[in-house]
Amino acid sequence: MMTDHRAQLVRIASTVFEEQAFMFSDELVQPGEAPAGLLETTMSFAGPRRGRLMMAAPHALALLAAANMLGLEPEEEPAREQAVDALMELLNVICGHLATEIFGTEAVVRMTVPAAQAIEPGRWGELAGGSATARLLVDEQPVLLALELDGG
Amino acid sequence: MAWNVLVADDSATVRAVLVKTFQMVQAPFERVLQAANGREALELIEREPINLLFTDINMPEMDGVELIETMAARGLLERIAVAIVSTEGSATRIERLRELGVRAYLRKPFSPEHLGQVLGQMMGEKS
Repeated sequence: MMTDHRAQLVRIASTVFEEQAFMFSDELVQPGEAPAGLLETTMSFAGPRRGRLMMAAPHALALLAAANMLGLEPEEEPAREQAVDALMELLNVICGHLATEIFGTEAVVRMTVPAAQAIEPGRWGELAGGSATARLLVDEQPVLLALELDGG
Repeated sequence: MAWNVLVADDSATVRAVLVKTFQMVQAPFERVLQAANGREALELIEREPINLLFTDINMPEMDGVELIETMAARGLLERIAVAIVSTEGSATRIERLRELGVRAYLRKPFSPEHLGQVLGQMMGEKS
């Protein structure tokens, strides 16, 4: 039987958004229509099991995260330049904490560096409809997180 | 003593946050250099009089583990105090890095207070 990691994902992501980017989260029950300017960040890991973590969010959330992390206003140039980087870093931290919870502190888990790409509303809908997708509302912006684990 | 610090992380955001936090805790650094991966960090270490290194583990080209192993093999950990700043949660890996000579470990996300404590500890040991 597959283990459902949604509750873990929601809890870890909420903590990381709050502690790293000073953004507050609620669980999102209905993701609704795809927002504008969608990004998907992904990274893979290999430990006792291999897997991949994906996070989709609107660019507006990435911009706000960068601004908060840098102590700037979203209109300022460094925040705009580093918006995607900030979103990838948030995924990196979420993935590290998730891997520790799943595999324990004795396991060594190798992670790839995160990647990001723009996505179409169809991909957002696919992720939003996934039975294992964790859904959050972070500072009024929807965020989707999905974990794929091999052999599960 | 003039303190020169190197920050190695592939995220420009994390590097900027670390630099800003050094300023917040009034770290007495003469120079703060930055590298986006282990290879760039190693090049700077061999060229510049670095005293302290804050490095991520998960980086492209050369990761933090390879960087520290290379520094250990070249005897560079005698003159440079190293702290890991990472999302790494493996006690096994952290213990291995401590055995190589890493002085401190800061798990992301970190607070300015925790970074200040780690800095105080590392600079106290190096003085």
